[in-house]
Amino acid sequence: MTKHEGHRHGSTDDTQHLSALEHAHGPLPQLMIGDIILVRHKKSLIRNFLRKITNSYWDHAALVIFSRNPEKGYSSNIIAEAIQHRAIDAWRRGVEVHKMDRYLNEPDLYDVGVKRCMDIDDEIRDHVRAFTLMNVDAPYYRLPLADLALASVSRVIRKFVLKRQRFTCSGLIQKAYWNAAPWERRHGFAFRDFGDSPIELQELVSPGDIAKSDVCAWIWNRH
Amino acid sequence: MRNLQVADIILTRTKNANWLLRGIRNVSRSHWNHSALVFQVVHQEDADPEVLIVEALDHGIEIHRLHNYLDSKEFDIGIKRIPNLTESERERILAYFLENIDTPYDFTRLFGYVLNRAALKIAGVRIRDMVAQRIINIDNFVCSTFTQRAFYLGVSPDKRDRVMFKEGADTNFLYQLEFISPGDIAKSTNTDWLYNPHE
Repeated sequence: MTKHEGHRHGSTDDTQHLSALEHAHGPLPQLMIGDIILVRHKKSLIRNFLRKITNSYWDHAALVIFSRNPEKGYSSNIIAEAIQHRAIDAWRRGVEVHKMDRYLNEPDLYDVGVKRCMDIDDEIRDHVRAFTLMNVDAPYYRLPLADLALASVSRVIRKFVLKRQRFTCSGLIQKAYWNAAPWERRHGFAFRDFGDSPIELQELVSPGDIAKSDVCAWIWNRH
Repeated sequence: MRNLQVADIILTRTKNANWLLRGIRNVSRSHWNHSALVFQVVHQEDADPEVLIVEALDHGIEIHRLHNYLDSKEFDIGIKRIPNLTESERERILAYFLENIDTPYDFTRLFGYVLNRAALKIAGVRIRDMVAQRIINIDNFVCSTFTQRAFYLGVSPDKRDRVMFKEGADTNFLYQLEFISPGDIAKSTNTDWLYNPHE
């Protein structure tokens, strides 16, 4: 067990405290720092467009930055995520830290899957967390509803939008791994085909790219 | 900022404050209207560390950068520290922060404070007991009660009296935990000033 693995045991007590989504998909395994949370928003028009143009079941991504450790006194996994709350600039917030429970306890609103980058050591995990924490409050890139709506009905527009749309939630994750990995291993952490320049790669990667990538493996609720 | 540690106390004053923040300062007779705590100090190889703070804001318990306050001319900030906290106590306080992220802000408590103040001013009666028992929700927080509770639960039981911000013969335990203002933290003799002392 590494220092970033917690202490979740399959006790009766644990099964009594399963979240709503865990009742549906089975108990969540013990998560580790750097695990990737994929989220599907079930009641959001803009997310619906996003899933359509990225051809994925998922529309949002987040990173585990503290894994639950009841022995130390915290019973929830803590995630960092780049969020756009509203379409209006003044309400756009950026990178935030929350409990993962906010997704797990609302099965009518969300579905959640978890992936893990294998073969990474504690040092990389520490760097992933440090990079993510340093970006708390970084603003969210604009996600124009009109562009996404048009892209969902037109292949030509989709190609154009995908070329320049920044999926900041997944971009944060790509940047965290890209910066955390040793120089010679960085390309091993690219979540989409390496046809793009490193800068483009870090900006353009989508939740769907992460879901489909072999860089990380599914550990819960594969889609 | 280089030497900040987890659980250091950040006090802030909003310069163009609204009526509520001005009211907090007036009632507590203090320069400060908000408190937060250092959540993490992220060290970087070639730059100053990034300091993250945890604070009770209107959306609940949230994590933000200290630079939001430092970079804005809107705010004045002061920093205090409870001396002699051990590493394990800081770890327990950090665990308390993590356990309470997203806990809602206690707006009813603010209403209770205002009600208590109004009753004292208008009718000359103290209704703190009624407010404490019927209005405030001890599972939710305002900025300074979150700060107090983190220390109270983070240190070993025999040290708890050394982390209480409010002292005095007429102060019962409930008031010590639940009727705390940023001004009480600023005036507390259980804390040391690190930066910009103002009561």
